[in-house]
Amino acid sequence: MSECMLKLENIVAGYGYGPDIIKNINLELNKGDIKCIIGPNGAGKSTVLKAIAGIIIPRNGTVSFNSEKGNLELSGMETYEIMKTGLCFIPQDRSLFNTLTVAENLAMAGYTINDKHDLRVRIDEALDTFPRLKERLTQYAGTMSGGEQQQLIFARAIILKPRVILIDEPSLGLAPAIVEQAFQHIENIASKGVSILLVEQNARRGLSSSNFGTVMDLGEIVFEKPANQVLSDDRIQELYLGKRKKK
Amino acid sequence: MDSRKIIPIATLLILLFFPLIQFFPSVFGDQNYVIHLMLYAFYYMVMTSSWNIIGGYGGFISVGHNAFLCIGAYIAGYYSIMWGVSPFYLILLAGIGAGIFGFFVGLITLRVKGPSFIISSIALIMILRIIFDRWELVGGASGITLPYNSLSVEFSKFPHYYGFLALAIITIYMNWYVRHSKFGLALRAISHDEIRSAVAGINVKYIKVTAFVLSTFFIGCAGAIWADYLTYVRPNIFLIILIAANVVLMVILGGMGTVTGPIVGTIIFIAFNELILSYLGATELNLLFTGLLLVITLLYFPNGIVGTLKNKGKLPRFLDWG
Repeated sequence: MSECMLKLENIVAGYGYGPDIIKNINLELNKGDIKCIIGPNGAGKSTVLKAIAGIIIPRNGTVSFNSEKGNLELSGMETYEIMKTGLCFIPQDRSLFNTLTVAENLAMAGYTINDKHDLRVRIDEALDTFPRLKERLTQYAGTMSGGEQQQLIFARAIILKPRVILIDEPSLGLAPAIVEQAFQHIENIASKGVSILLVEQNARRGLSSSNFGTVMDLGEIVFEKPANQVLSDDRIQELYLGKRKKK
Repeated sequence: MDSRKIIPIATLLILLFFPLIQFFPSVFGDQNYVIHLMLYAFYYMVMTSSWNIIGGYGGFISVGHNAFLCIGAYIAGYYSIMWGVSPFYLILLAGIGAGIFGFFVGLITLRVKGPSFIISSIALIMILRIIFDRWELVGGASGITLPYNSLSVEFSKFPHYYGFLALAIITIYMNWYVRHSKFGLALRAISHDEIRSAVAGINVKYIKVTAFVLSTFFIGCAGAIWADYLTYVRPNIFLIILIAANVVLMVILGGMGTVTGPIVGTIIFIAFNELILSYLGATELNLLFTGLLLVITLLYFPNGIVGTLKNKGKLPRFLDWG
């Protein structure tokens, strides 16, 4: 039984004063696992990640995170505090600051690291992993190609040396070859013992890189299975072909 | 030493000794008006450089920043009468007062961004105008009248000249410091996207409000000196949108989010305005031509003069401070 890194219990969340978007979400993420949340549009996949990252505050339930300093209760904490605990969130549609240079983006990634020397070492390590970025340090992030931006995103993620990474739709708006690269990066990072919770619209691609698949619909988890068995489940056909039962 | 250091230091030395020509009227004539123009430029540099902290780096376009000038001026004016001291002794108090006021204003208005923030900043001066016009304690619409200083007329502007010069240097230094600090990096990140910034671990609210307070503090300080210079504090002088609009236009002209942009913008704006006034007289034509200057400049320098030259890599080294 491997170590549980992130545990969601009965999470309920929604936006503003609106209705509950996700209801009673229970989810566990083990060390080194890649878990992919799939489901039709509007199923509440991204909302789950936002609730973990504190961008929306859960209305009910608990998020416990196995941080370096022991178990932490994340729900109720501000986003910037959560990001200091060793959890990293890559939001949808890139997480880069287009108006800052590559070097500034890297420095920004290590915003929570106060030791300047340590930060320098970590940035150098990230640059060794992604040597292309080294030539582009003074360029604005927004002016780089999709593939280079993707490298910068993952360079930023590894600078933090997080224990858990939440990734929202890594394939969104990218050319197929670059999507392939993105999943390569994700698998590489996970192979070093980092747990990854992934939300992906492209179910087939997302699941083929993951260990586990979680299927969501109408704000609830429908079922959870090892990734290679998810697509053969009958319920998938119902969900994606619109034959779901009315509630 | 390279031109990057020599030119600013030489300029500073010239500015430091420039008013002394007033001691030699037989050689130079009376240059009181030139001194006025220069201190006026320093006064605006304080405002543009401090506005640049929240407006240029943070992306919060406030067109009501003279509200804090007014608060500073009123604090200095009111207590200088009450305690019988010169407003010069109250500069720090005026700055702190404006900063505290800025803290509460920032807590409320910095929640919104873009057009909503701009409108909230205009609303701020309108609200203050109504309050100060009716507030009998500080003289209502006729405001507070302050005594003249006791210096003879040819030296009477010296305290304001050096006061504003010192304040301008401190503000410009602050602007430079913010540009190169982690705080400034966070501020520029927030300007791009608040959620991404929070995800990077930035305490967005804290950084925004601190930047706002910082920018209001120096404007409050300037208000104290400006009150002494005008010898009166009155709502219809301090609480007009023209002052804030000038500040914003100067920064846009020079280049938002740069260290030297606000300085260059202020100098060009004031010099051009003065040129038009001296050739065409005190009609309102200067406003028309200032508008034209802005349109034409922004046509060729879309990111302001310093900003565009910097992007093209053509910025003279002595202006390249980040």
